[in-house]
Amino acid sequence: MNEQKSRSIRSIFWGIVFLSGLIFFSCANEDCISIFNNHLLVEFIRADTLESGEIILEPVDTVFHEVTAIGNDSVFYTPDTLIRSILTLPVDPAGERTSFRLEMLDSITYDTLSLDPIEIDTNYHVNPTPHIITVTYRRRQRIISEDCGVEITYTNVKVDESTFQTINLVEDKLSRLNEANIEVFF
Amino acid sequence: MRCFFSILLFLVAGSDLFGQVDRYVPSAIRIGGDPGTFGYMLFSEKRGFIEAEADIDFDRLFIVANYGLSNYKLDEPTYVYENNGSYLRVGADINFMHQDQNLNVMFFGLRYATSSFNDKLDYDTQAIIQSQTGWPNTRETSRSDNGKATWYEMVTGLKIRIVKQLYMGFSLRFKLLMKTTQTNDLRPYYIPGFGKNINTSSFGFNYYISYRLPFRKKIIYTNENKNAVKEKKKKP
Repeated sequence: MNEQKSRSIRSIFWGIVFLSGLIFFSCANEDCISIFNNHLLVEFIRADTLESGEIILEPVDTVFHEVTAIGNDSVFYTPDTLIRSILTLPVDPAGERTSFRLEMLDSITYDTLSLDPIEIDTNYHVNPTPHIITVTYRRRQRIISEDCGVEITYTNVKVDESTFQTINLVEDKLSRLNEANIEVFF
Repeated sequence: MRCFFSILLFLVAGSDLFGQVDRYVPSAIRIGGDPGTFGYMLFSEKRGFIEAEADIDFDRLFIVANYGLSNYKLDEPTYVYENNGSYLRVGADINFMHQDQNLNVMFFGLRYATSSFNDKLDYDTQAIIQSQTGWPNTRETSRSDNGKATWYEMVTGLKIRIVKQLYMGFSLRFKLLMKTTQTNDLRPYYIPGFGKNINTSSFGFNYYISYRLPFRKKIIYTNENKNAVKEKKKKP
């Protein structure tokens, strides 16, 4: 009787071991996908007052002569860049503070140099005082998997310095899912 | 944890009330280790560990403790991750083969486990998953000292008597992570004793070789001799 009981317990035990083994080896591999990036989204907004007295906020397309980050040789935006109301500014992944320099255009004029063939010279009149936006943030690191490698998340974004009159932080975490992190009012 | 020891105390203390002192007085201690250490030492560049196990025999119940030292290293082109630490598991097992004359053990048990560790990550800022940073690639370091983790385990396994007091066996573990704390912004990828910190649960497997040191002769309470033992105890 005991022998039979012992055998049945052993069978149950090996069944559990087998099923556990199946679960153990059937674990799916993770995809290398991350929703986080180092892109600070700055949206330019204009407040218009209607005849009725109502104030409406509208995203405004802005052309920049040059948008750079201090300490980085890359130019993120030039006048040739497609006009848009939202700038994507990559923060420094090796630091926890980044300053961006935004050179605005006062006007653009065109000089016709010749008619045949037609040749036009574009003159950019740059505002002599560039705008500065400085942000601070906190970086957190994790390994997603051995193959995917390291993911860095940027949180606790704060505007440390700004030459714009009105600037508003709307989202303090950098992510692909954001519409804007900072709103700048003209 | 507190509840677990209360139940244990009740069992040990209460045993005298029911006139079964022999049954719940420890009969032996078994001390052993995981020989898988040598396999990892020879074949794994990533992981190394040493684990010792001890259990105290209270008839059907075993009080078990494991202590281990662990190191883990990932050396990839875009990052290097290092983790060193120790872990401790304590708990109890129920033996389903308590009537076995050879003192073989087939058990199911619960464990409370804790781990403390240090880890360090050297990484490229432009890696596989975030390659378009708009900044030049640099090598950064992040470290977390005095990280801690706690988890619970359900364990099942066998301990088979090979020769005299020498036993061999294995344990299959289901681990449920409760809490991790780190002192910095680096999330631990590996927790000594638990494994990879990707999900809140994981499976583990250990081999054991152990030696049983008896304090006294263990009485096997089979269905046949249970009444005989009771009668014997009643006699002055």
